[in-house]
Amino acid sequence: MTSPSAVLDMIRRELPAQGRYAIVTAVSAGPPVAVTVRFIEGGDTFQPDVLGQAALPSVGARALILPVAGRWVLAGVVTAPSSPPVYRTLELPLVNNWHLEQNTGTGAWWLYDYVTNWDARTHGTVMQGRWPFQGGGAGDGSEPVVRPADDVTHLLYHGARAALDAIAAAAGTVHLVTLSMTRSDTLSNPQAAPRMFGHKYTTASPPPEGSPSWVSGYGPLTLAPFQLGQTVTWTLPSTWVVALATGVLTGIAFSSTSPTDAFSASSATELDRHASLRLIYTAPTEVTL
Amino acid sequence: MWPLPEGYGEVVTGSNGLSVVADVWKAGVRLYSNLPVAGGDISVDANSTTRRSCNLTLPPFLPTSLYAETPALPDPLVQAPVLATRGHEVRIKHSLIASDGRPLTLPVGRFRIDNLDGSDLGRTEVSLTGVSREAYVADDTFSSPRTVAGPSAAALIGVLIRESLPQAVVIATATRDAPVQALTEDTDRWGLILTLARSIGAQVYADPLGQFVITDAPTTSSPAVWTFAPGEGRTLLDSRRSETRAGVVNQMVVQGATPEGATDPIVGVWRDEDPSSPTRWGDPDAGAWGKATDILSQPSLTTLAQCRAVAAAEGAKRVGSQAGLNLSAVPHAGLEAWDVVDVVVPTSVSGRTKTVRRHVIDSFSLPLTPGGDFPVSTRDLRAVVS
Repeated sequence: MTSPSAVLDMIRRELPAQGRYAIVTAVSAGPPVAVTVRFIEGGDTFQPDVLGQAALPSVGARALILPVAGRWVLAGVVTAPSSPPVYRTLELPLVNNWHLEQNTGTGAWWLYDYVTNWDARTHGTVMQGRWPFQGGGAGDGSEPVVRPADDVTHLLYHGARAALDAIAAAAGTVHLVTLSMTRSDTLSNPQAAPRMFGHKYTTASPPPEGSPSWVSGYGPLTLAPFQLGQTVTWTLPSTWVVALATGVLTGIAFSSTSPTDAFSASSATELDRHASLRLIYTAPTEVTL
Repeated sequence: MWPLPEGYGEVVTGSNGLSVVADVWKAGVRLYSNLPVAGGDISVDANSTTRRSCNLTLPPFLPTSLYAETPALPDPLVQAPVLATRGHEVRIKHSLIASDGRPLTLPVGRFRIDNLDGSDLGRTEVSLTGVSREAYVADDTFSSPRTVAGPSAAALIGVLIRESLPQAVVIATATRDAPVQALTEDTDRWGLILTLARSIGAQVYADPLGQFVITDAPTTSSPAVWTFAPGEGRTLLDSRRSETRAGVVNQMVVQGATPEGATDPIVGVWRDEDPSSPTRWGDPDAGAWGKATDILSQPSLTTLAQCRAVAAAEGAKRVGSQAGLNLSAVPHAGLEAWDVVDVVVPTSVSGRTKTVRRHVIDSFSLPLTPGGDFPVSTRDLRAVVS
């Protein structure tokens, strides 16, 4: 018996003797003819019986081994699964991350670009929704008072079109575009859903310090919600990817005026890569920007 | 574990009240608010196709206004009954009432109503059973063999779920993902989803809000989310231990797809090598538990790292059943199956010496009435140095 442990395992599990796949590790044309194989799940190599008329396999081939009368017999070679396509990933960090905020009391707007104006720790911070604010009560003796809330919008620009053009130029195909964020606030709403919009702002043409305009037909799209501390990956709809590739959109944004939609997302570990777009594509060669 | 409201940990171990709100929905419309639940429970089982199921006892007539009632059982002549098995769902919220009257509310399930049973004459209570939303997907089998392939197992899971439930919310929080080479399944849609999840060391289930969650399966090194301990101000009431070797596996071998021409297979191996584990791999004559192996073939895996990650996750599901505990505890509505918890049990009659062991929850049953039993079945993973 060439593989007692495997046979004993079948007995222990009360399994009928079954054919097994093995990988050919050595072949000797002989005489005598000898083929050395190893089961695909690993283990020691061994030499099954070889039928006299059988064509000899090549090293690395996938062979079917049958148990016959307590011995293993090489039944032949089977076609191995074709090589899987090589999926490549291109990560696009934020080029601009505009924080747009309006106070619900005064109506005043405030605009800031987290990437260009603040330090790297805030690059990938994304906020949305109506945020409550409290004034006073901070040890200065004043009574805490509730101040009018702020509505927060974040507009992201990754320069996605250039990357999608580069992949197309390399005869590649984009299969998925994803965005991951980790919720980091401590607000009381356990499930906050990002509301995604498409925009046409760029580094050269940033949003105004006022009401942003959205591209018609692209939002609001409510994404799967996330909980406190949770990291969620969202897949962009294919229509949005096409819109980014054709310039209909230049970026995505998150905006809401609801307190239940409020969240802040940032990462404690990969701060400057947070809220990156990940492009998963196949192409003959890797694309670099 | 579901995110807990502030102070939940203190309230669950202290004096509290209970309020259960069960609403009936159909096609996104609430048909009935606050079913008068007279009894029942919610079962949560990691090894069941539907992660959650509910069993409610209702009065034979449901109040619809101050002086009006409607039968709980659906009347065949009524086109739009309040309760029926025609796509009706029950959404249940569980609130602990703190001593200051503050409700601490957690969702505990969104259930498709599968069975209604009771007296047509209104002489008995009506029994309602429901299952969580995986049932919709599991029922929707493939009419012909289906092959899937793509760059992301998590994305494929989402596609397969949304084919059955186009409006389903699918939340992907798994930290691992992998491309899927062609994977074929005859009829079992949910089985294919589970295979895809297993290929990335993840689990898929419908959470208490009915959202489908793709999240990392726990491993033996996952942190504990809750501690069951006996004594005043703690939540462990009793612990019954049973030991068996049946079904225990302490080595997991996961085979991937070995590329053509390779002489070494793509195989990931995980072993229970924790010195404090009761099921440690090794020579029983030298103090170890012994050796028991399970082999999983997963052709969608193409790298050694993927196989090892899946082996670790699959090993965690099978190891530890040697010392399962059946706990009786104070109900905790935020727990989820496959949560990892610590269990403190005394190791002397006096109770002065204690041991802390890490367990993974296989199943539990949450009562919907005050004072109900809260049995929890767990598997022992290892000792914890506290």
